[in-house]
Amino acid sequence: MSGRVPRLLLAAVAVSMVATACGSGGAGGGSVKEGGLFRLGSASSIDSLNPFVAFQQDAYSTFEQIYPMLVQYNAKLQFVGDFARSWQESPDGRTWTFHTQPNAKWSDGKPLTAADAAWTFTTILKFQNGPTANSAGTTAHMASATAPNATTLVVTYKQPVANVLSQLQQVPILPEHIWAKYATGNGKALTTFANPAPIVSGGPFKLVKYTPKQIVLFERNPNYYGPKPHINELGLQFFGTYDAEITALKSGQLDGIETVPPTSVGTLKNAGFVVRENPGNYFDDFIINSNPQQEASHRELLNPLLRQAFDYAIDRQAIVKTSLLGYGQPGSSIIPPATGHWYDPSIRPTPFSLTKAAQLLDQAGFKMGPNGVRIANGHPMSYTMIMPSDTTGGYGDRSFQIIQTDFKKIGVQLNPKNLDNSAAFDAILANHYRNFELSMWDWVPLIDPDFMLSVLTCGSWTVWNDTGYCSKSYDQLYQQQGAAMSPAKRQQLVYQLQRTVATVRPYLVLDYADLIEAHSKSWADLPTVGGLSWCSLSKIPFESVHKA
Amino acid sequence: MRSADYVIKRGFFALVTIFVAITINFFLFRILPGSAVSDLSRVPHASPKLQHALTVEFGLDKPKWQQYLIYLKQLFHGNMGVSFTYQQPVSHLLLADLKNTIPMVTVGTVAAILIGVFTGVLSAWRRGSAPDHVSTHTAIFFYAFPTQWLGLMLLILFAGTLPAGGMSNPFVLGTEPFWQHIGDVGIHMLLPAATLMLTAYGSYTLVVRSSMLETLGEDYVLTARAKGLPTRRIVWRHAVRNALLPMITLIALELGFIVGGVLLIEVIFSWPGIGLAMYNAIGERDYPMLQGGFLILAISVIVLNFIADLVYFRLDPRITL
Repeated sequence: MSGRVPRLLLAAVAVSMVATACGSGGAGGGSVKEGGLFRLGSASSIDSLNPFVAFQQDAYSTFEQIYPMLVQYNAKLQFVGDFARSWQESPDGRTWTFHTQPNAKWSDGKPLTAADAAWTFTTILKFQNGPTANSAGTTAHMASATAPNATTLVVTYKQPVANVLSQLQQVPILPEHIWAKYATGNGKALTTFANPAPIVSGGPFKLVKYTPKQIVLFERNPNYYGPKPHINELGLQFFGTYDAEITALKSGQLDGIETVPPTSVGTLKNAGFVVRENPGNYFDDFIINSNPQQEASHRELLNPLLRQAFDYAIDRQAIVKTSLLGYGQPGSSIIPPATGHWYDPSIRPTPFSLTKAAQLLDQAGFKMGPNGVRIANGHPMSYTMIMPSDTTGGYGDRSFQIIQTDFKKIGVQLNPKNLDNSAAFDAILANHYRNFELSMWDWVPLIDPDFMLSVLTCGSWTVWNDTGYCSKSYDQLYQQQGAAMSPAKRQQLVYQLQRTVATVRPYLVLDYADLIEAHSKSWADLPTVGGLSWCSLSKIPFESVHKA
Repeated sequence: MRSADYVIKRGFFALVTIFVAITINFFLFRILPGSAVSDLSRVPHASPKLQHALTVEFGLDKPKWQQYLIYLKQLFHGNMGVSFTYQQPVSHLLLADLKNTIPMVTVGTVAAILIGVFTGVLSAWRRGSAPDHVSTHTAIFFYAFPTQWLGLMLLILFAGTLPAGGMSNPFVLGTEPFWQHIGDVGIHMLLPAATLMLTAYGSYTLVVRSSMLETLGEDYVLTARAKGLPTRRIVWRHAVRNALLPMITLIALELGFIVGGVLLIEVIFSWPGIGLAMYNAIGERDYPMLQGGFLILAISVIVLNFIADLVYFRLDPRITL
């Protein structure tokens, strides 16, 4: 399942943020079989091995394996140490001190110290409006990063920031002795450096071979500061289609694949593979133009009764059953339950009721027209629904057909307009969100709710915002949660934001699709983090996996 | 003198066509809705600043005509620009892709030509017989298959027997012995090349059959028969050589599309060639990659047609300016 265009890149970094059921590092004690090569298949690819250039999911998952991160997620969605063994926050929330691994080394034997981390953050800050702009979000509000000694990193912020650890978890720490020569002048060389294999690595694996669009191969890094992986090698092969990937798994050319379409679950289970369906930090949505300045020809879309009616007219159970083949849950909030305590459980999926939907439309004064299509403000309630390629071809088509059929019953006509992702996003943004009417897409949020909530802010217009929603009161609440240093207080604000969205309905959340992956029974102890073992949230899964 | 005039005139037309193709390549992709910047700036907490930085970096802040002049200037210096997505020179990326595409497509196309010529000649020679019916219907059957469907069927049919994707066993650390590597690539090439061969050979069969039937009715064939020459010799020595003239155009066109015409096959079999690169570049609105790829495609078609014209001119004295 692919993240929608505006979220394609997000999916890159974003899957990295989905964290859940992860083992606790190392392979469960006792004697395990050491060695071997784990061959993983992916239907995605790596665009670049340079963290200042890369956007694809597999690139970020690769960085997780080869570079130190300050922290990572554990099974309970808590942050645990990675390169940082411990950390403290100052009472005012502006200074964070990290104590890093002592005597650590890069794969080339050079010392790996807090100075490398300080250099990485400082470089991102220095070139944040240019070469390092793709990482600048991770250092938002950061003032400086210094390393007073080899094992201490001090990061200071201009203001209290609630999600510091979530932000820093995304940043691969780079070897200064390799990269420093590119961070000179205007820093342009930071983006032209290909970072070719073999890469000087600091994580559990070192990257030894990369053939674009074909393969990336890793070897166990003997200098790694953490628990040594049991496997000797790890390989990731890229496929153009799921069919080829699944065929390769079934024929023994692979040991595992990172994403299984619901239609292939039965086949793989019957063939004796371990197939795991995990609640995904992912949701599909129905977008209603929420720009108050939208064209008069469809301004009735702002009517709360219409939005409520649309919500009631969506048969989420049918979507889960038919489109996801049962591998998912009906959707409710834009913060999925897989994020753990950030999800507000009081927001329940709206029940399916065409009667109620029709009543609401009647109440809004939208009378039924002669041809079975209601009339709103003098024109038929017939809307163009932008369908990006992310949602078409399988899940999206089936879901749209379910929704279209039900909407027809209440006198609302939906007309699909299939576009590729880039064109779809442009169509939504066209004329400052005035033109588009409806759309369908999906999101892969981060574990921390800040990003997903930021999508609906006014500041996110033309960047991530795909609804045209903009509200000062929402923005204020968003700012407050971002600076709330008390977890309980922040949770309360996050709940409040979710309820606002559930009430205003710029998105109607359709479902939470499961993340499904599969591997051969020849392997054991491959935990998932956020539904995935190959991800950028944690090093634990591939430290842990071993031959059965 | 006549030859020189012909070559100069055809060469001039080819150059003008290439220039027009270059211009169309530039504007065509910019007319498409969507942009590389809106794609690439979608990282968490991205800001309009990031969009601006990317816009400036890619030169998209300049007016279109200025971008066009820069593009032309770069091309005249042999520079195809830098990929928006990979931040690497397009020429390097496409060259690597071409190196992967050409062997697979060459094997598939040559096999298609050989089988097409053989079955076409056989059909014409045995016109109206069972072999003719079988050959013609089989050719039409495969010619009508959507490439992607046939590829998927072969993929499923040979699951476990032949590799499902890639162009060699990727999980090999270190360097394989040369011949072992060649063998490995050969096995990986079987399915994509077979897909290409099966979907392409039908057109050769039908063209050759038609051309052969026409040739077999010529007076010189009748004369050869009257002289008592063996049928096999009449067919292969006299008729086939004349019947293959239309094949020159067809082959030139097919070869011209080598660089882009196998897009679906490369996607299905994860073959890391130029077709797959173009497929990805379209989704990413990677203008330099698209311009580079389509430029190579255009030049290939034009140059091969130019060569076909010259060959025709050489082989058929009836051709005039």
